[in-house]
Amino acid sequence: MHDEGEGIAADSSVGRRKLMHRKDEKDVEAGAAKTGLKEDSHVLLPREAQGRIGQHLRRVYGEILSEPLPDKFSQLLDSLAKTERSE
Amino acid sequence: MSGTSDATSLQKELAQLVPNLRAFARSLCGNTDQADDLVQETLVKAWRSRDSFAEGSNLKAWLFTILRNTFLSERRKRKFEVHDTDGKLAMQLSVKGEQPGHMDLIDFAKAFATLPAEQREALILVGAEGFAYEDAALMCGCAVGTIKSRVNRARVKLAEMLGVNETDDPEAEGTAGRPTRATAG
Repeated sequence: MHDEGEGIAADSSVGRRKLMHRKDEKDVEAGAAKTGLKEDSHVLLPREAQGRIGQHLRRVYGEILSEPLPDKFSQLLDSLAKTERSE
Repeated sequence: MSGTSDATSLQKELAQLVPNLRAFARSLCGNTDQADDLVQETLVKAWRSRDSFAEGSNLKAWLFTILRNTFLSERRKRKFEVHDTDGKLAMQLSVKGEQPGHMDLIDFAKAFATLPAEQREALILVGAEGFAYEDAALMCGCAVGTIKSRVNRARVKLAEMLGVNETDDPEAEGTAGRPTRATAG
């Protein structure tokens, strides 16, 4: 929790644009969320169903995680690190 | 974070998180090539701004935030022609045919694909990546309640579409061969 805000702020110029762009939606949703968690919670799922949804989600997501990685990523990281050393 | 050894360890940590970045990117933009471009751009940005990363904080959350912001800003510049439907293909295509219960997964992926983008994103962050609601809210620049509500709406909708909330249905109660209990939370 402690330091995360700071770390996340790194890309904040982009972040600000995003926030402005999303303001309307955000306001609406934040308002709904404040009063309306109740509204949502009347349809809260039983744990059993939540568990099953979560399990399916993680399996599908896990499929993508376990895909073989193209070399281009390690090559990119190598070249970034090389630039560092020559700086 | 500077100096050769730090750089080397950062390089390793980044490399380890590439699969997660790819998976998240694909849930955002659907197209594999675009997702990979997005990941590469994220790696470059992260590397260049590594001094602003607070050591000891959550590197994955930091990277995801960069990726997400990059995606949104690229989309605004119309570099990526992305429609709301574009998150959909990736998850379907990634389901392989051989594994047990794969029909369930295909149904799940199809249902997931119909969710609004912000609900897919919230569910991925919280449900698949296991981020705390608070962290997901920081990453998405919205209130914690908004994330909770998106995740809940996504779950309810999925359960509805897949029929898993009909607890009077014996099929939904926990059929053999189909693991039903997860680390429910």
